[in-house]
Amino acid sequence: MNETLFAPTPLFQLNLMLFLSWPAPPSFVEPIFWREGFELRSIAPSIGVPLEALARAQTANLPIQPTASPELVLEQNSQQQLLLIECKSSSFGPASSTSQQSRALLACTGPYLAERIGIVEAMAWKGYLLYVVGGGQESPMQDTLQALGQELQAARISAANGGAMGIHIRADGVYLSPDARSNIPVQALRQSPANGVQVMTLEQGEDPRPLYLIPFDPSIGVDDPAERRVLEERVRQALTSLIGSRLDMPSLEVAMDEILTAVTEVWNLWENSRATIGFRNAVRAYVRDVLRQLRNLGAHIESHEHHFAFAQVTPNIARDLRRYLDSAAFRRGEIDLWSEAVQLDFSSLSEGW
Amino acid sequence: MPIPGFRSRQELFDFLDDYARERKEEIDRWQLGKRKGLIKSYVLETAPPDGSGQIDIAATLSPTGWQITPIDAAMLYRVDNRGGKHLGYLEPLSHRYLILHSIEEARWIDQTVKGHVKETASLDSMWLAGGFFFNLWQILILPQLPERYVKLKFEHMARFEGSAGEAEEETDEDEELEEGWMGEEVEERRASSLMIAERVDRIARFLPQFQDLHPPFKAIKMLRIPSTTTGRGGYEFWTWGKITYRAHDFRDGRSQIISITRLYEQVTEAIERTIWLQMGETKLQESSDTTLKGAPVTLEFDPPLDLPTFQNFVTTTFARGQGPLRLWGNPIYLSDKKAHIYGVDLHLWQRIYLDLTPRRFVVILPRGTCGNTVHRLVTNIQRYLDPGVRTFIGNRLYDDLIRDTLLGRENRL
Repeated sequence: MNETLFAPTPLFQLNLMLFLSWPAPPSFVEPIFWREGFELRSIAPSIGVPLEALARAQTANLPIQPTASPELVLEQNSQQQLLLIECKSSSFGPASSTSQQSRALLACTGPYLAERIGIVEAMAWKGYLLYVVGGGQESPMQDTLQALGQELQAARISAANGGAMGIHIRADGVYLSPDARSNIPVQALRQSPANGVQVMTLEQGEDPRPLYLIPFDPSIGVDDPAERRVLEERVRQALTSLIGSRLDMPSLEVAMDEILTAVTEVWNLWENSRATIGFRNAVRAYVRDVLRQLRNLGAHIESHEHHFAFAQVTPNIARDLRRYLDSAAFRRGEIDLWSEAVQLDFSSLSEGW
Repeated sequence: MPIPGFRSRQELFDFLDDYARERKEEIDRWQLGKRKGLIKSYVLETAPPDGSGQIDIAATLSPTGWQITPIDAAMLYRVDNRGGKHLGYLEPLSHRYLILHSIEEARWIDQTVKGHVKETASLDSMWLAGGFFFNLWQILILPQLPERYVKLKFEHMARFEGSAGEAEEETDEDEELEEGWMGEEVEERRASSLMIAERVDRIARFLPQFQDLHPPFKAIKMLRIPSTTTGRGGYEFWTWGKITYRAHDFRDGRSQIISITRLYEQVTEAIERTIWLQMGETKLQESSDTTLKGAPVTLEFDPPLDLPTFQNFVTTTFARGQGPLRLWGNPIYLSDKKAHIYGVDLHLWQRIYLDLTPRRFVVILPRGTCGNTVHRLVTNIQRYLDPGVRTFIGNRLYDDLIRDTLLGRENRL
C-alpha cells in the first residue's frame, strides 16, 4: 500500500488521539483507547518534575525542564495506568533541546502522577510515556526514549516506561504502528499486525483529517493553510452564533472570553499564554469590523473593554441583523487573523471595539 | 385574567372532548366540514434549560408576538396572535416543552406555527425520526394493540439527486389534504410516498421485509396511534411534532402526546449527556486539570451516497444556503469527497461541527447546542438524503437508545 502525500501535523495527531479516546462506530474511527477503558484525564497539564529528580539531573549534567506538559493524559482505572501522550511530526535525538521535555516527562512516574491527581493508593499506579510521531519515525524515536531512560537510570532518577508509535496514512486508511520494542500498555497496540492497527478507513483519495476539536495550540503554532482556515471559520462561527442566538431579547451582551471559548472549548488553558496575545488582538479587530457593519444596519451597540452590548433590539432590527449574518457576503468575507497589522493592533484598547 | 368561555382546565378539556367526538362522528359519516378543523396539537421545544427549572413563557414567546392569557393557575393559557386572531391553548409540559392545542383551520395554523418556529431562535419543533416511530410501533402498538387499525405514511424525497439547481423548496401541502381524506394514495415523482391503513398484526407481517427491500419504508412521516379508550380512531403523529386527533377523545390523545413527549425529552437528554463537547475541570492543590468530554454523532450511509448527490448536498446546504436542513457555514473542502464545516444551525443559531463524506457524516455538538438538532438532522436526512441512514450516538445506535429509553433501560449517568 502506498503512503499518501498528507503529512500528519501535531494538531492532526492530537485530534486523532482525542477521537480514539471517545466512543464512536468503526465507520468513523476505531477508538482503541476508549475500548480498553482509557478516558481522557487532562489536556496539557502543567506538572512540576519531582525536586529530587531535578537535583540528580543537575548533578549528572542532564538537561531537564522543571515542568512537564504532555499533550494528553489518559487514565485507565481498571489497570491503574496513566498514559501520557506527546505528539511530534518527527523524531529527535537525545542531544536535541526537545529531549529536555522528554526527560521531564519520563521523570514523572505513575505513583508521582497519581499522587498529584489525588488518587488513593497512588503507589500501585503505573505511568507510560507514549510518543506519537509521523509514520516511519517510530523506530528512531524509540531509540531516543531508550537512551534517555538509560541516562536517567544512570543518574538514579526513577523513570516511567516510554515508547513510540507512528501514524501511517495509507490509501485505505490510517494506521498506528508501534515500535516493536515499545510494549505500550494498550492491548490493541501490543497485538498490532505487522502493518499496524487500522483506526480509520479511507476511500481512495479521501483526506484523513477528522474535525479539529482543538483547532489551536500556541505551543505548536498554526502554519498549515487548512488549519488556519479552520481557525478562521471557528471565529466566524463563534461570533455568528453568539450574536444570532441572542437577538430575540431587547438587549444582549457578548464577552470577548465567550467568543474565544467558543473558538476553542479549552481556551482557558492558553488564555494567559503570551503566544495568544496576537491571536486575541486579531479576533478583536475582526469583531470590530463586524460590529461596524451591524451598526450600519441600525444596531445600537456599546463597546466596553471586555464585552459589547446591544440595546433597543426590535424584531425588525433582529431580522435585519440575522439576515446579514446569514448572507453570503458575511459568510464569505475575509478574516485576517495572521497579519502583523492585526496581531499587533492595540487601537481597540483606547476606543473600545 | 381569566377569559370568558373557559374559566378552568376542566371546562376547556370538556369542550375539546365534545369537539373531538363531533368531528370523529363527522369523519365516520364522511361529512367532515371544511370549516371545522380537527383538533391539532403542536409540541414545541424551547432552548436548552438555563438551570432555573422554570420556563419563562412570556420571554420565550415574545419574538412570536403571541399574546398569552392565563386560563387557570395551573399553567394553561389562551393564545392569540399579534393581530388578536385566536391560535389555541398553550400548555407547558416541562421546563423544555410546550404543547399548543388548536382547532383552527389546518393550513393556516400549520403555517403560523412553522413560520414562528422558523423565525424564533428559542423555539423548535419536536422531530420524530423513522427510528422513533418504528420503536413506538414495535414496542407500544404491535404487542399491545395487535387487532387495531393503524395508519402509516412513508415518504422519501430524493432532494439532492440530480443537478444542484433542482432542489426545490418543499411544501407540506399533503398534510393539509389528510384531514378529509380516507383512502390510499401512491404518489411518485422524484420521491417514494405511500400510506398504509391496515390492521396492526397484518402490517407486522410485511413491514420488515418491505423495509429491507425498499429503504424508503424506513422514512416514516406519520404514524397514527390508536385511541386506547374508544376502540376506534387514533392520533396522527407527524415528523415535525404535529398531532392530529381522529378519535372521540381529546383527553386520551393528550395523554398519549404527553407520554411520547416525555420519552422524547429523556432521549434528548441522554443524547446531550453523551455527546456534548464540553470542557471539564478538576481542581488540584495549586492548579487544575482540563479535559474535553463528548462523543460524535455518526450517520452512516450504506451504500455510500453517490458523488454528485453528496456534492449537491454540500453545495445546496452550505454554498447556496438552501435546502431543508437550514445549516450555515463555509465548507472547507479537503478533497472532492470530504468537507469540514464549522457551522451554525439556523433554527436555533447554535454551533455545529460537521465532517462530511459520502460514506458518513460526523457531527459534533458543542455544549449548549440543543440535542433536538440531532433528531432534526436524522429526520430530514432520512427524508431527503438516505432513508436507510444508520445513526450512532457515540458508539450506540440511535434506534437502540430510543428503545432502551422506552423500556426504562437507559440509565442516567
